Amino acid sequence: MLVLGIESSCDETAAAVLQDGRKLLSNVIASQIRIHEKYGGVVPEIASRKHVEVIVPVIREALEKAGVTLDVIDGVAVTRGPGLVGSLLVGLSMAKALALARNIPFVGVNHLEGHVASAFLAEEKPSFPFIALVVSGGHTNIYVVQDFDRMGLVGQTRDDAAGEAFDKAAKLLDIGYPGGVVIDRLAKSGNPGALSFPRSMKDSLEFSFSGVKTALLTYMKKRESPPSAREMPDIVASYQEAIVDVLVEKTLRAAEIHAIPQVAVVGGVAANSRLRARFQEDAGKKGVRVCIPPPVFCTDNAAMIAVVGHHALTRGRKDPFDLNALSRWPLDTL
Amino acid sequence: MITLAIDTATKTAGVALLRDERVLAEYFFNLPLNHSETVLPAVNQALALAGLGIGDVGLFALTVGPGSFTGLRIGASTVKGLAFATGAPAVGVSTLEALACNAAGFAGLVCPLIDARKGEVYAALYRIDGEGRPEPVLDERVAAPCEILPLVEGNALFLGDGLAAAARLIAERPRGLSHFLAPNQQSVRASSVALIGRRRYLRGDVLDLATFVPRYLRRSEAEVRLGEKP
Repeated sequence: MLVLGIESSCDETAAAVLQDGRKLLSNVIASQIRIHEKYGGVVPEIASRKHVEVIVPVIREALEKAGVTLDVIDGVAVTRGPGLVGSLLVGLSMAKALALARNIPFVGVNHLEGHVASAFLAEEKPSFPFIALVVSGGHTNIYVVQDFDRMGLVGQTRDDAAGEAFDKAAKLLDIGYPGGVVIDRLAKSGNPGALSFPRSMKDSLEFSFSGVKTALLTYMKKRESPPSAREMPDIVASYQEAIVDVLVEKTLRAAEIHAIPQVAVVGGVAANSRLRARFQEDAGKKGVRVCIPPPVFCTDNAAMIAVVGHHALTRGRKDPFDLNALSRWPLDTL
Repeated sequence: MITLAIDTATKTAGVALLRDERVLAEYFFNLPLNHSETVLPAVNQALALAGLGIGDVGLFALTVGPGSFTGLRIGASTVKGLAFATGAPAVGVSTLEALACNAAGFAGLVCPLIDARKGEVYAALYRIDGEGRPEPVLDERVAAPCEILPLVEGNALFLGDGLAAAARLIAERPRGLSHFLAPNQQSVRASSVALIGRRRYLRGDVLDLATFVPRYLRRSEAEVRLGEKP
């Protein structure tokens, strides 16, 4: 079975061709990072405009790289939500039109379910059940994953998402865009123990990142002069460590509580090199197996949407042509 | 030749299926639903009832703007998908020109007005020829009604959902020179989009599927704000 995946929920336009749910034939991503850079964040209207401009070339390239034509595609999987509605509607309208024109089924996929499924694009694939940490600019969720369509939410953030905490800090420190990527790079030469930032909600699977952000703001206000280029790595490494600590600790605690010695770390922030290293170290000590997909499958992509789509399509699901996009679509299917 | 036209440019949506210049089926929606929920089911049903397959469609026509940004993108993405999958050409039509077709038979200036919010309207001026074809007199633009109305001289017909925003200024025009249509003639008809699109196609005017984008006429607010920064 050949599935065409389409993703346009935020600022990447992506298409992928997946064979039999496992073999990825192509994975094309057109990123808009440069376009949104000057605004310091994703501008929904600009993102939507860009999606409609590039979606046909992106799909065409995905088909070409896979060495197939649309004629042999058996089904289309598309992100239905959550995300920016204007952006989602571009991919959704395209997917529906392709399905109608080719007389093949299409399914609308939950973006978060896609991130969880990206674990199956890792070298070390998980087996059910496993604990999944979905950590990105919009989400910080811990799931108990029983199967592709059975995921229970056991922890989430009460305020900012982890990726948001990185982005806001980068803005505050004026060190560049996108924040998470810049912090990851700068922190490599810094001392994570140089400064002490708070780790919130210690005894719970719930997250809160507004405290660490406020602590950074307070620290910056207290300083008499702005930090020098030499001091910056220590500041961001310490800040990053506070966030990474909490993410690792709570995810491993969820594994312990639910007696599931297997975790998957997915979503844009899973591309963070410190988070990846710390999960490998700490999980190893606790005898927990860790699956983290390569960074290209952590950030938004269509391959993960195709993985979910494959399973839905093989179960005979076929969504109707009046399907609408959803800006909010909590994932909790247990 | 079979033409399939889609309009999602404003609050209303429409689908029309034509064989040459004959309208086979036409759908019109003015519902509190997203166009994503109405248009493709209508395309599917129109084709089925007409006993046609999507492969029979020789031309896709759509309103490319101006209008609601999200609506325009639903239409553009849908037509891009249909045309990409079938290989049939696509042609773009001005929303204002399609709207002006409702005034066929009127001899004076036709001024379609589409609500652009923020106190502005999308507008243009046309004269309709003897066969119901709009000829542009004033290019489409987005502006406050007070910038549009002084450009409309003599006998004129005003229509569209931008009428309310311009009502006060229209009322100030000399008596007897302003004309209007019935309430069911105030929105774009997809069959008009098909007819204009077909003529345009026959003149060799088609869209590049890979690159075409809606005609927004307005930059995004973020771009405008960035431009205003000192």
